[in-house]
Amino acid sequence: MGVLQDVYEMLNTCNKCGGCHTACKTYKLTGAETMVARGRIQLIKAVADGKLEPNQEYEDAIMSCLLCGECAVTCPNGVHGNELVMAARRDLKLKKGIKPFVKSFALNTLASPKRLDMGFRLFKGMGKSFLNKIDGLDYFRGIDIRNFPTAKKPFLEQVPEKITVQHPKHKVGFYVGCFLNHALDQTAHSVVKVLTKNDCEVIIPKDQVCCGLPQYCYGDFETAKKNARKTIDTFLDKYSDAEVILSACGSCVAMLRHDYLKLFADEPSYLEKVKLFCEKVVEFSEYMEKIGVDQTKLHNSTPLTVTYHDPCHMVRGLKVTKQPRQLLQMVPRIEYKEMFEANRCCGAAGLIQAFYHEVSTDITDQKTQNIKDTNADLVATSCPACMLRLQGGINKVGQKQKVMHVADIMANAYED
Amino acid sequence: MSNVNISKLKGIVGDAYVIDSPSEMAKYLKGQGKPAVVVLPASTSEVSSIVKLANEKNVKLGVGGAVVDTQGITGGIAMVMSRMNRLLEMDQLNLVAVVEPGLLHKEFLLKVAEFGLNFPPEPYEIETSSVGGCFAIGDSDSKSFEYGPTRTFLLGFEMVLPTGEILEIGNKCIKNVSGLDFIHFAVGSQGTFGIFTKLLVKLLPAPAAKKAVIGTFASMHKANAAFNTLIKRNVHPTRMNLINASLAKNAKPGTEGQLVIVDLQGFKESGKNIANEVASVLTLGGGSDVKIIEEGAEYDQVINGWLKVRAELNAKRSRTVEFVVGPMKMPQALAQLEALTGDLGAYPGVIVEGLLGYVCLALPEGTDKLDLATKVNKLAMSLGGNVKGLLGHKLKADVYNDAEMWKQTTSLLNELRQQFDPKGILNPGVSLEA
Amino acid sequence: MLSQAVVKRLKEIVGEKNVVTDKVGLLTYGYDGTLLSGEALGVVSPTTTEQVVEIVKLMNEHDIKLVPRGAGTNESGGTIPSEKSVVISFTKMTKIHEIDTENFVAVVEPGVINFDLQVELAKKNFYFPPDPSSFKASTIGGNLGECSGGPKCFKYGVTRDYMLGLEVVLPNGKVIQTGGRNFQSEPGYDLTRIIVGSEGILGLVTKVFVRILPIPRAKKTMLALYDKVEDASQTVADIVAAGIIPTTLELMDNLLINTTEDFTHAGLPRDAGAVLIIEVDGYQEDMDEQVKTIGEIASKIAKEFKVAQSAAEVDQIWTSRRSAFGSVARVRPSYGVNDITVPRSNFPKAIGGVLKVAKDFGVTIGVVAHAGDGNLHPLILFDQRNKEETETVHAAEQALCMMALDLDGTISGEHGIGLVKKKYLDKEFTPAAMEAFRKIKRSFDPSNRFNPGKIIDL
Repeated sequence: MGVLQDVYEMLNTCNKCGGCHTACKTYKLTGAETMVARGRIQLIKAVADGKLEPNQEYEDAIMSCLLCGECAVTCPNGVHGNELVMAARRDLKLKKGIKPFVKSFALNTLASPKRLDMGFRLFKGMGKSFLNKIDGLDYFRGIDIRNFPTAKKPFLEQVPEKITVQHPKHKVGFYVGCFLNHALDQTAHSVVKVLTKNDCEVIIPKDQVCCGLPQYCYGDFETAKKNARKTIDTFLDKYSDAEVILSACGSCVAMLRHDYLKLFADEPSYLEKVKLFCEKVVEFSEYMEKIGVDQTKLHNSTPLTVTYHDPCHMVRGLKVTKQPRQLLQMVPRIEYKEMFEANRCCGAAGLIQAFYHEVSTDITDQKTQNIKDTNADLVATSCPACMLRLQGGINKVGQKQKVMHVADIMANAYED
Repeated sequence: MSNVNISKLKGIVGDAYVIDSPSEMAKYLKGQGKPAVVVLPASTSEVSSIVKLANEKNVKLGVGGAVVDTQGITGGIAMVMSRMNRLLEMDQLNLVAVVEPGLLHKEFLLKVAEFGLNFPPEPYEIETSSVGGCFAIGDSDSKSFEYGPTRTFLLGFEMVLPTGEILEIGNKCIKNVSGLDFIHFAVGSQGTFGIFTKLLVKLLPAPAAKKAVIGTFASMHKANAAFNTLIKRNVHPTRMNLINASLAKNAKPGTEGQLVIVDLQGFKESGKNIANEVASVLTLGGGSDVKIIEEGAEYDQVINGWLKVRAELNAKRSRTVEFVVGPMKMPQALAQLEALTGDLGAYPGVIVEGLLGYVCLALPEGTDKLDLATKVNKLAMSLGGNVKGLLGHKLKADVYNDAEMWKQTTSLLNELRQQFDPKGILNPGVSLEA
Repeated sequence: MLSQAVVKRLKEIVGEKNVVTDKVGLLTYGYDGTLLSGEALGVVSPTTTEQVVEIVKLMNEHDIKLVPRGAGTNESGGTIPSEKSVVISFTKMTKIHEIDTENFVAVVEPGVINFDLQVELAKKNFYFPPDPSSFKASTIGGNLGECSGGPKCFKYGVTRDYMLGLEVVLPNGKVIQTGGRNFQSEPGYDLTRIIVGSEGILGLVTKVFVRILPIPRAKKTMLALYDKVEDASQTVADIVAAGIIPTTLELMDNLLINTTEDFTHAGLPRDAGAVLIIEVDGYQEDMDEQVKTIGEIASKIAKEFKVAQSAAEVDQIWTSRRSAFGSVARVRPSYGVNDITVPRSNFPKAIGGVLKVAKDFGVTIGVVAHAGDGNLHPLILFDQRNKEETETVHAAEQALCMMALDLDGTISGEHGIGLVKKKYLDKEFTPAAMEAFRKIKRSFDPSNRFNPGKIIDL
């Protein structure tokens, strides 16, 4: 049975009512039927039926999906367009492989800590100054290249493997993730600070690797599985004393908690271990809400208006929406303001921003407008990819809001 | 010499119903044409046979409810539908009635009322209008804002086509999108597609309460300002009409100034409150003798006054100019209109249907209608409207300097007519050329 | 295949990005909400009236047919490319030119999504009454083409009642205007009305003047629950007979209650045989009396009658109702939707007829109905992959249509004829009426260039 045959029942369940037109950002912006769940599903079905040979246009339709999952929520039949697209990507990978460019520059680099580290060093050292010299390259495909943050050195090299506190109540394994490690190390420090202020001992394994989500999304299950196994083994074998495995990246958490189970579904001997791992995975705000935050320790003298953007993986993957908002509202003198369509994709969508930038740029522009309409000073969110995309988008249109992780805003409210 | 075969006609409908003496014919006819004969059929098959006969000899045929317009049928046949005047069915469960076209509008209203139901379209002429005529003309009227235009109330019909063939269409369903919408398309076609021989009419439950608020105003402008206030306050009565001083006396004897008639059909509770709200707005807006009318006979009298004036103007369509603008544009429209007409109060006749932004002007003797209509159309267009109907479309195309569009429109209209009536037999007096 | 020259010219007219000729693109414009599909020679998405005119002229020169399309959510097959034709997609004509609440009119392009217009209108406390269940995705042009209904028709009528005027590109490439911004603007014949519901076979609409209304001051939503669907149908007949005109009177049977409940979790009781959703609107002070009367009528038969207490509750109820069609694939993957309508007094008989068809043919039928209008949507559930079952379903659909016609009804109350119901059309209409349709089509489109094969054959 092929990959598409496995999902054929779901393909066949789409009865083309068009309800997903309302949900799909790529459709809203392009008005093209190839860019909406219904169209993508019919194309995948045509491939499954042998009526269509995958070609470039097909690949574009499949690869331009944001995987935001909105269609799955909107579909009255419960057809998960995003899962079907994932299956189609897997099918493409198996039939045609992944395009060399995507493979070598993006996926392989992300998958290997060494190459990723090297990449960031190059970008910092030579690449960034080189790019800065080229006029008009401020916003390469809507990405704010010049202001793209880079850590002085990877977060994992900045901190010890274990950070203790005076009266430890909890023991937390910290899965840092690529973005916090290499680009937003300050946010990683914020996470550690908030945890330690709340009596958590933090364990940060040095040899953690990319969760595998980018490779998984491109149908490269083999590499994704390799990284997944490494992550699971690292945390369960070497640091089994960690009560939970926490990450401050919504996308990583969704991958660690849900998709690992799918990846190893065909490996029963290992699956029990995966399940054990998945049960331990928590998202930052989810965990803080669970253990309870001591509000009296939070101080802030500057009145701030804050709005919150729900990352796709948070709202539809993990269904975590209340906790980050509650945490934000615990900080004194913060006025919380909800934005229009807070739960819609920001346009980052993994590598979509690089490969289908026409679509993602427009999506981001809508988002920044919604942010502007709230008159907020700060935009909080729970995913580093969204943080970078949103800040870039805001800078591009000349708005002033600063984008921060929920953990950053909380960390600022604790005394050093 | 006429080609009409009188004896064959007599064979179809019986001797008594074929009239060819000019003196006896007169009461069935209006206009300058001289038809050879008046015929009064009693059934669909008789109508069909007459039309087939006309076809054979290429004789023109004009149709009317009680009276036939003779334009274009000199030497031809005038068909009067007054013998086909039965109410064939009153279906209370489905709120529909099946009627013959010659049933007088006023008699139909009485029957409908007996069953506690409502047929909203206004009669074109109080005494002589028929239900068939109502749909053949198929106009909007001052109640259209609430109830929709006349076509809304036709669900189906039986029709004798210009070839004599009988066409039946429609059913008692209030929702029907099967096939092309010939049902509503036929409304307003003035008998050029065919002759209605049976009508399936949609009815509504009678409103629980009817009230009217009347008042008089020193000027048209003040009255219209009060209308605007009501619209801004989100009050949408059933009718919100204004009659200028010259005509007001015909509607309500003894009226001094411009007469405002606000008709409120609806529920008891809200009706009371809205009547009070309307009365205060009219009073504050400068109205005098503002009065809420609740008593049935007096209410009917007021409404009949309106219908009478309306009918007077309908009777002389060739000497009226009608236009529409957005209802909130009415004060501007009237101010600009006055520059063309002088004091509107003293003009031979002006009526305003305030919710629809509709104005009908009765022209003074000697006024060049086309000239005035052209100016009025420009004025109306600048306020988002136009002169009504076919003439309005022509004038609009003139303003756009788009002769092509007008040519397209008329050629389409004529093609449609030609398809249905290839020999041009039926109601040739109806012009689609403006 | 379109010739290189035609493709080049199309791209010159509308721009490179607005022409689709690749296989993948064409596949996605070959279907709509029905089970049918076809393949177009190309898809072109104009953004202005002038472009539409140029496209029509070009297609005429090359003797290629045009199939207009909005969102492609229709249930009639009206947008399926059925002959060698190019699809003209209006999804990029999405401008709302004007909203004039003072004068009760909005001017929009055909590709404006019904919901998007509603959102803009709501900001001004206005609305556009026709709101078919697909309204979040479907376009005004599409609603106009099919003369869509929706749940409010009982009181407010269908799309045709809200079209004041149109700008239309005729099959000869010439542009006309019908109607205007107000009532009373038609030239001679009511051209607007014949174009509404004509599924694009007479002309391509490029601008629409729609009538808009203020949002009613008050609204009450009620639910009546029944053991049996027949019981609910009796309440419907009773309410109509009592001379009450609710805004909506919607019915869902047990099957639909359950499939929508799987999706929305609105809290409808899964064991109920049927539910009626009843809504009245108008002035605040009239609400109590109407609710009371309806409550009395419903309670005679219903096992439970309740009035929704919060806006959130009302939203939930409507989400359920609107997702009814979509949700049935939870039971079986394919469905055939029917749109039969009967005189309201025959509604209970029609419900009986549907149950009989289900039994006679051994098919599963879910019933959702605009009960107040006598408009039923029996959804026959099956799996299209099973040829034999599919045949049975077609036979059952025919039986449903015949049943409706026997009850003096129609085969389509609001979805249109398109390709799906074309074969039954001469069962409903006499040869004279069919010929009248052809006369109209011939007047507009003698060479059969626009949406050929839909509704009628020339």
